[in-house]
Amino acid sequence: MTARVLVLAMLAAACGGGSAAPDGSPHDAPAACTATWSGNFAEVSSTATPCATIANATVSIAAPSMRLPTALPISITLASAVAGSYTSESVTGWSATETMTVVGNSCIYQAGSGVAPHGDFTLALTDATAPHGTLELDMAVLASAFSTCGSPLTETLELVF
Amino acid sequence: MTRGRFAALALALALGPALVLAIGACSSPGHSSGMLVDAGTPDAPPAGSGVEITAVVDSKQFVVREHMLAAGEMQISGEPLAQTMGRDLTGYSRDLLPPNLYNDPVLGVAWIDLAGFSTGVESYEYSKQPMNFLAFESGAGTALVHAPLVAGISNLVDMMQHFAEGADTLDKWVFPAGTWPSMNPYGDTNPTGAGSGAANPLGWPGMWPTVHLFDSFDPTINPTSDIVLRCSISSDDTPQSAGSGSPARELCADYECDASTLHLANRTMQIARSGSAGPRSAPEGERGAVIDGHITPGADGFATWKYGLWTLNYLQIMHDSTEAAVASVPAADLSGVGSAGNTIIGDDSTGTPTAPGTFLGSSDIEGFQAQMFILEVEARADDWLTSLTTGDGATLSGFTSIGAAESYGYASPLRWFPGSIAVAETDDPSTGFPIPAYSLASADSHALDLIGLAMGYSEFFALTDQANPDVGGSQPALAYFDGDPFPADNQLPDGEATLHDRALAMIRVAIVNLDRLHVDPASNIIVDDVTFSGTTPTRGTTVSTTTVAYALLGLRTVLRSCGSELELYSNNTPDTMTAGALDSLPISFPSDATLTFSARARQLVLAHAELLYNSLTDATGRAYDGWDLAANAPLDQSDVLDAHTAAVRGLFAAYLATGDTKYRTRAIAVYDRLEATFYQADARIYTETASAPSVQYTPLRFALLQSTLRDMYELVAALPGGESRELTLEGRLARLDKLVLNGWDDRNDDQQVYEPECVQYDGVDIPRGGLQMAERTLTGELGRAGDEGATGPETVDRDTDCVPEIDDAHVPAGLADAITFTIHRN
Repeated sequence: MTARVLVLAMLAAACGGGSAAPDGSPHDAPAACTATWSGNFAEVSSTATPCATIANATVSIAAPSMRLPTALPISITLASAVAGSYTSESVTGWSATETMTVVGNSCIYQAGSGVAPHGDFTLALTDATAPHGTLELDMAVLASAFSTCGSPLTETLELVF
Repeated sequence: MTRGRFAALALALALGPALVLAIGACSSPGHSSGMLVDAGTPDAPPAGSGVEITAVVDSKQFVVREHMLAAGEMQISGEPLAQTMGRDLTGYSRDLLPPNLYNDPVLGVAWIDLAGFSTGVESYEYSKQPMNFLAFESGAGTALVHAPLVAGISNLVDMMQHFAEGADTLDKWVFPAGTWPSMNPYGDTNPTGAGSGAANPLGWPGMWPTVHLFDSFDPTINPTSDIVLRCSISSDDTPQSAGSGSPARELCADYECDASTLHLANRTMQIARSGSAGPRSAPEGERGAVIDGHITPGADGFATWKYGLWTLNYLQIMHDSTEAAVASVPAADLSGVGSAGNTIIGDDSTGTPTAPGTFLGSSDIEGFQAQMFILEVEARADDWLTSLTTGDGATLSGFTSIGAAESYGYASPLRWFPGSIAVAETDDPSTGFPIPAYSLASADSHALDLIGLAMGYSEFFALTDQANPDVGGSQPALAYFDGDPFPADNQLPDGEATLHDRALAMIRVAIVNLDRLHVDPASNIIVDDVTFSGTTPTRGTTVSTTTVAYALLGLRTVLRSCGSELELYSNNTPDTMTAGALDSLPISFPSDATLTFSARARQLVLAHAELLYNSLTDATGRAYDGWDLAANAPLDQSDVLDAHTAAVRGLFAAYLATGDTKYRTRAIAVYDRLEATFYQADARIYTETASAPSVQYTPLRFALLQSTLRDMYELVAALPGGESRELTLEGRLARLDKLVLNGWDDRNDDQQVYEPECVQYDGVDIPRGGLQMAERTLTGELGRAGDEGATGPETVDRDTDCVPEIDDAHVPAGLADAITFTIHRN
């Protein structure tokens, strides 16, 4: 494989604006966690094992993706660990940030209460013990200086966990 | 003058085809923003959506009322909006290349932030520069030196020298009149002795202070491209104390230190003085029927509003001898702030002591300019009150006293601000500034003019109102109005010769006459226009939704100011005041002798809020562009953008003035319909009618749309329940500012400017911006290519944002009167 082909292959995996990718799950077992991504890139990715945990009223999620370097880490701190509906304005703090760098283009997928722009989420937590529910998350795609990160510069995650 | 391509392309080519391919692969060639410095071959066109937008400027005419209204909205949609969007303003640079970067203090990296930069830097500073052009640089008004309150050039020179001393501007940008020293420490450095004392009759070389503004003029100028003065400017954003080891002030072209080449190039023809050249036709192809030498309450009014917004900003802090912010000084020292040789030590916002020497305003230049704005608007009020009203519809005259104007009521003999006053000038070799003579040109009255006056003087009243803790009661403002440099006031509406009482008088006369002349007694609704035959008024029967919106905004501003609640920007919670500074003076309202000024203003607020809610909009979000009082029906059934944007602006003002959330709910409904009807998603542009192939933007249309998006962000998206709108609104604001203001159609949405994406790019000439026709130092045009400014070859568009420097555009950093965008779908 030439360097140029390698570059193209990496970018094909990294850049947004394409059509929905095939299910990225390598497993035949029923999915415990399914992430549907749309916007800057489109993808459906699943894991057979749970992707969410809860400790000290903080829900931690690793949203699966084949496009991002690793699963997107999401942290949502609730007032208390009880099932219910939550939004980005009703929790004490939350974050979701990951940087993807491909051949000089550094793109940051970001949302959270401590960053700008904040983005937003809605969380329906049906079980707060072994956390289950659905999450819809809107995040910004930030292009570092001299980088291009595709279009649009927003990403939406719909997660069933 | 040279022009050219983007430096990054050469860099990319040098690094090899694989890298070029890689940089461009995500959606298009990656063009690092560079600077136009030489003529080169354009690089490959970007792969876009197949939709392109081009534009043609229809008129460059400077129409002051609409321009200053837009400038006020652009300021509010500037730094404060960026802060509401969570941005730290210290993360932006005005001269860094490429532009648009936000040095994110949370992430620790710089990212391309079109929403933050276009609001916090571009919209904000674009709004400032045409204001300075009117007030200090162009000569597009009558000369302040001849205003009765100033009374001659020796007085003005003395005042300007004293202002410069008070703000620590002396011997940097302001010098003894008639001199132009060389080898100054910084500012107007003048290392070669290039300046001439004869070109500095007042103190700041080339300054042309105005009192009244011509309502419309051709803004052609011929700024120098010289850099011989080694000029630099500083501000509260780039103070001389910032940076490590070297000042952060902006090195720039000579015109920033010497305004001589910013004067109208052929003033006589461009303003076409009454009585000499007379009105003349606008240049072929330009909108606007005539260019005339007239002043109006509306041009002066909205300019006063704009001056006021900026002056309040300048008076939020004081500064020390290094230009660092001073939040407070010991109370006993306040009267000494700004005095010559003072060594007063204050505290910054963290309580840390500041450097010895405390001066007026937020920076050396801004503290000086704030004093000039105050002098200009006070002289303006003095003129209007004492000699530019009419009581007979034929001649100009004045109130007998400031107190008489403050007491003006419904039983007073009718005296009003005529809609147009002609200006005839005679040369005055002794000062170099022409002497104006005023005569009544039209006695008619226009509601928007009176609203502008009331809004403008509300800002300045707040600045003098010590009961307003965040504005007039703050130390930085008290230091201006404690007797030096401006007179103290006893805080009563009792006719003192102070800005406090003159501002109250202007508010009183404007609002009472808005009611007496323009309000239909049956409905309590304002009509746009009133014509006069002698002293007999004939009220029109229609009102535009825009006038309704600004009536609500204006009345709310008056109520907040007189109620000591008006703040610079933080007016986004429902009002609580119940009385105001003018309530002690009876208005003698015909049907209710006990009605106070504030109570009557609140009646008018409610009447117009209900008109917007019940008649000018409906529950589906449909908005109408005006109301016919005679027919008790909308003006027509047209379905247009402006009706919706004006309705949103007005409904949010109604919500904040009354606290009734039904107006906010309706504003959201109107906005949602606006989005669904007038936003063309593939072209990412709002058009005046649904699916139109082109749209003309004017300052007013832009201001209404930008303020709609801003209000939706601040009053909906930033509040619980509205957060899902945040990212979309940021995208809309960024696109609106970049496309309509800058004239940059980012066709492939890669956030990188590629020269043919400039909407007025023809492959030969310089980029010509968008509605914003040109720019200067504070938005990145330093005159030269070097990052440090004032070094390297001359540039046309140093920051490669499609907006040229003023010396190449030959127009000021201001808005065109009209520009038409055309959508091309391939």
